[in-house]
Amino acid sequence: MYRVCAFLAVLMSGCVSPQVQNSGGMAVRDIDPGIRGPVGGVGIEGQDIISMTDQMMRDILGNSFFSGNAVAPRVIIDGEFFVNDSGQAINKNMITERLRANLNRASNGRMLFVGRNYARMVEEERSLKREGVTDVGTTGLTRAQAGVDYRLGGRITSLDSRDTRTGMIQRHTQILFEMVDVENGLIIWSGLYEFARAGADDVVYR
Amino acid sequence: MYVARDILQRCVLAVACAASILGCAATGGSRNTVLEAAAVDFAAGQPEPLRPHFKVLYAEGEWNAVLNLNLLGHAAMKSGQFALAERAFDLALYRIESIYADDPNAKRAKSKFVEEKVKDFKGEPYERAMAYYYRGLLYLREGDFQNARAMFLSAERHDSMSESEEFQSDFGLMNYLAAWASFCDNDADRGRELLDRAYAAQGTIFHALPQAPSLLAITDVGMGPAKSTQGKYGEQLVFVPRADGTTLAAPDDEVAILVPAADINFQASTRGGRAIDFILDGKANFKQGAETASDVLIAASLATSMSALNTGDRGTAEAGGYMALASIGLGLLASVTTPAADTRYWWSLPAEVYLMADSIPEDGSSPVVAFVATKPPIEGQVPRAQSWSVTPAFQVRHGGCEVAWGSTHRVSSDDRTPITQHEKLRSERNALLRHELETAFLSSSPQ
Repeated sequence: MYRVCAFLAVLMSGCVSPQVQNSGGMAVRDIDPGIRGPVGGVGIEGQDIISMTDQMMRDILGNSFFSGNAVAPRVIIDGEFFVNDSGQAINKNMITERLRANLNRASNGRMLFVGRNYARMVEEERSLKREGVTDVGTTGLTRAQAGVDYRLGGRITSLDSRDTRTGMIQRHTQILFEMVDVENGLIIWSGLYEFARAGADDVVYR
Repeated sequence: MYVARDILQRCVLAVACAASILGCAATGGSRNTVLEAAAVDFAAGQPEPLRPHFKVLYAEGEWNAVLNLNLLGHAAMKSGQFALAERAFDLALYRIESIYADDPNAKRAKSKFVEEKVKDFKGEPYERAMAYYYRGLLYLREGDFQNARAMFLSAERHDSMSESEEFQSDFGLMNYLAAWASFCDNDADRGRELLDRAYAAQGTIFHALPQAPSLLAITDVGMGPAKSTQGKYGEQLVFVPRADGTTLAAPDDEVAILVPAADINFQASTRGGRAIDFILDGKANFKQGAETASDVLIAASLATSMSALNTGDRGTAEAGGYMALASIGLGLLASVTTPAADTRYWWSLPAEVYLMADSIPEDGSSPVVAFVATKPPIEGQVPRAQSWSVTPAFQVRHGGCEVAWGSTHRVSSDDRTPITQHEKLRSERNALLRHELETAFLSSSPQ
């Protein structure tokens, strides 16, 4: 009888559900965007965007072309002339918009930023004022929309290499930021951010 | 009395055993049913022709996510659901780009007693390259030429991940498309550099095309390769062409340049060896060894037992028994060794990609892009050749460049039943994936 019970116990033990991890799902959690997350590849990631824009912001603010003038220079920082020539698709606006927002806050009026992407919106409002549909607001009228002194350009490039023997893949990524005097074409400031990242997939994927 | 009690005990035991077995089945069954019902619910909110794809994607989870997302994205492109296709390929490429290191299921796939197909699907290099190709086409459609170039360059990079040096960088189409995207982005220097790479890879094909045509029509033709296995235990992965002979031609009065620019069967078959092939060979050798040893032992056991019967020697008989037991053990070991290669494949891929280059008319009108596809008769199946017209799924112009894309084959439905569910060691990731799917495809609607 004991043997029978033992047999039954073994049989019943088969009914115990396999160890299911996190069977109830996983609640949404915040991840520090400045650090490398739990998953990733060898390309540009969120923490790189934060790191590079912070570095460029400090560099620009420390440059006398931008912060040492009696009259604050006017600047456009957008993705129009910031070229992605790398092997990774990326939304360039993530980089340029973060740089612009942080520079605008940190420069505290030492630099003025022109939103050329809002030109149509501005033109509509200007027309409404001039047609008398609206009043002139509180800051007065100007002859035209703001012209600029400098505009951001740049290029994202990457170089991939692979060791077929070990399966190790490596990507060197270089992001060039340049500020161009839009009157004479002089490049008055350049900043470079680069990193290399390597990793190897499990052998079953090579 | 005792006999009756014994019979009663046996009956109770039998009923308990049967109940416990049925209970096990019911528990597993209800788990599958709940998941399948959730998959059906999720799919119900999606566009009709794509629902089977959504259902399978949701139910199979991470195990087959890349394959299912590729199939979904491809079907969505063919049916004009472009935003949906973009999201599907983005999710697939994110996984293809991720480095799979210390993955528990990848580790299991190397075990002698677990099949290779237990791993998450990432696809062979030609399949990965094609996922980038389609995402690149979608970027072209949006007029985002820089990201389109990035995708075509990534496609070329993944295809060049072959073990054999002689077959690296032979996917000239990707370089040509990257060059075309560069010209459209007004980056002629980069365009020429990439064009040179296309010429170096497949000069005959790409010299026949203009350097930077203002109109490029890209057409997927035929059915791409399948995967199969060879070897005693199916341990060798092979690619089998499924070419149905479909060809593409411009209508009679057209004089545009039309060339077959890529052969996907060729790209699949020139991959060279895989690193995992050594592991599968090892598994096959182990299985072969265990089977041979089992056969030898059973023969020895029989001979020893016969000898024991003749001599009446108890020791010899015991030895024969032990040999039989060892033979059974080795036989079991051989039977649970699984060297079979993973044959999951992206079945909706084309056999070839054709390019047609033309110029936008001076009056700025959009040229009519249309082709005629022809399939030859198949003995015993299709008595006569079939012809049908092929029109682009999209044709858009951005600046001075116009691009069209279409396919000779329509959306292939996904009727895989029963759906395979692989929750083991993936429950956490599957929960995240399903949440991601519900968010990413919350409001899929026609564009």
